[in-house]
Amino acid sequence: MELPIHLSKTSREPVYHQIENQIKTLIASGQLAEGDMLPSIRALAKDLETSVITIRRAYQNLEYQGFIQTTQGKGTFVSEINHNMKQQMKVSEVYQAMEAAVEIAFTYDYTLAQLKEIFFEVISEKGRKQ
Amino acid sequence: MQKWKQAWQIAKFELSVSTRKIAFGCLIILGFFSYAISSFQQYLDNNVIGYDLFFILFFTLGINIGNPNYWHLKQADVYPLLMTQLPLPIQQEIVIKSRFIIHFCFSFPVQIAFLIIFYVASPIADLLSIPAYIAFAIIWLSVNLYIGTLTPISEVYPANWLFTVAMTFFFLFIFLFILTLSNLIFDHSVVKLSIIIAKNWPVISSMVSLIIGFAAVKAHQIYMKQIMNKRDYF
Amino acid sequence: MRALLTITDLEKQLDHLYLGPLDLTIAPGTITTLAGANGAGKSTLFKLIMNLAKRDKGSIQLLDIETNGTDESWKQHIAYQAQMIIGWEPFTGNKLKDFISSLYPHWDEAMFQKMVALFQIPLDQRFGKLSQGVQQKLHLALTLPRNTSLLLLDEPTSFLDIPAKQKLMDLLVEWMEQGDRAIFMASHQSADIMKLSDYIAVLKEGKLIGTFEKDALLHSHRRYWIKKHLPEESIPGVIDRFAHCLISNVPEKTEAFLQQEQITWTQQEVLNLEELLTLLIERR
Repeated sequence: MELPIHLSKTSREPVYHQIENQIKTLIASGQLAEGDMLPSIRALAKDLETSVITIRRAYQNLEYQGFIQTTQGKGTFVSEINHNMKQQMKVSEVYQAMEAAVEIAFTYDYTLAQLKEIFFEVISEKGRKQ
Repeated sequence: MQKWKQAWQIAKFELSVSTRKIAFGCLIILGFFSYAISSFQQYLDNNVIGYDLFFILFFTLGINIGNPNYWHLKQADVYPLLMTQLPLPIQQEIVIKSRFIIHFCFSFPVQIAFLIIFYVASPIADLLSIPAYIAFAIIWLSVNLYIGTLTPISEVYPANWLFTVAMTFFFLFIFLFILTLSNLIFDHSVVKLSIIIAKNWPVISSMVSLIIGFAAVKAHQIYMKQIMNKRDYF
Repeated sequence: MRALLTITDLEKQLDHLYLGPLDLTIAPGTITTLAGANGAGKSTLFKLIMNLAKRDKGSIQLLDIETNGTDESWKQHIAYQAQMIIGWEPFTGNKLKDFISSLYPHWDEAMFQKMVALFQIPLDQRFGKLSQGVQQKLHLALTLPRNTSLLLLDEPTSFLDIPAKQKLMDLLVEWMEQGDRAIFMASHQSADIMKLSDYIAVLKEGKLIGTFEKDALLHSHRRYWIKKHLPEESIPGVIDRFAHCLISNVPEKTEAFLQQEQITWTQQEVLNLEELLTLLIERR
């Protein structure tokens, strides 16, 4: 597989949206640099086991938002992204991860106080390692 | 002619792997050769019906007479290689012509070889001059054109083994009927009759034979096309 | 865009099955898999398309040409791989290649050579001497390079080993990327369907249940695990239920009901393709 994209079987988020967001993350984190070629729609559909319709939709959205560019006959490439945008994406990704964690905690009926406790525990543990 | 040329290209593909089949067929045919030549005098004297039957079968089937697959009751009701060619971009007309060509390749060479050896080796040279013998040859080779060309049709005819048996008996019956009729009306059996005709009317008899022959080749192609367009290939 | 293959109101009476009425369209750029139980009529549908079996009613057009008409030029645009091939046994791979390539003006020799190398096909041996798997590889190598607009594949991977299946998928992806082409295939292999298909046409007892976009189909059903015992009454959208688990084909309705009844689910996920196809083929 060319791109480390993992589709969730449990998420209610549409597949094209998951792909779109994960490619954005890859760009924001620098794993995909400006000018890098993305796999063709058909090849990515094969790797991710989706239909080309889904991939096309994700690519179209990414292109519309200026993350990628398609050149007829050549392929799809990562566009130049400005620093602010990358920063924004990083922040929003951290937010999303936190939100997901909080949701899980709520399904297990944790209270706000317990949740905070866990949160600080994780931070101090990670902090010690670094 | 262009179409026959294209059909030849298709037929060549199959003929290239038919050497064994042809060799085996020729081996069987040798038996027929020796029988036809050695009992000719006896036939002339006694009108042996079996002799006529062998003659007709040989000029209808050629080496297929010795082809076990042909006599083996058909298992697949379509000739398998033909089946693989149908989805390919070959015009139906060309496919049909190629089946005819393959039949001719399995029949004409041995039939012509037989006619030559027969003239040299049997007492028939005493009865017919060379031009008359050519007419005799044309009469018999035309049999392949109008009855023999049913062979490629049988490759696509939707049939089961019961039908095949029934058809085989039917044709045997028809042949025997013709033989008997010939004996009753003309007081001569078929081969003898053909010798008399070739001797007395060499030009007319060869012309008529060829006209019927070529008309039959045309008609049989159309018939084969009709069958192919109606049937399912599973 | 103009459809490559258009089937309308197709009907055919068979010995044990009535096929149709059936409508189906294959657009360029798409891969469609025909799924269905054995004997549902998949191979027959392919034979009807190829005019090997004759339709009773309806129309089958390849690039606007009826496949049972006098114009036979459509055969140039479709490459059909039958499930079984009988009749090639005495020929070597080389002979078969020479014959078949001569019939297709756009034959892609480079692709053929590449497939021969990838699959390690011995071209100098008679077809009949090869194992079933190698026969299938050779058959594929003689089909893909024909460079037609449509590939009609009947169980193309049934005898292939695992590496060959992987290679074939890459080859088919490559084949698709060379133009406005389409693949229509019958397959029982869920990996083929998952990796290649855009659309899944489900055939049941001669009738087409539907042609579904793969991702839409996969997300149309969901499974929920419930902590408590489920109420006895019927739950909207639920098509199958067990003590702690239920399957819905209208997840929104089911979730709304569960929330209303204050039943929480601990986990939920989409079904896998095999479960889904089993549900589609066995139920209704």
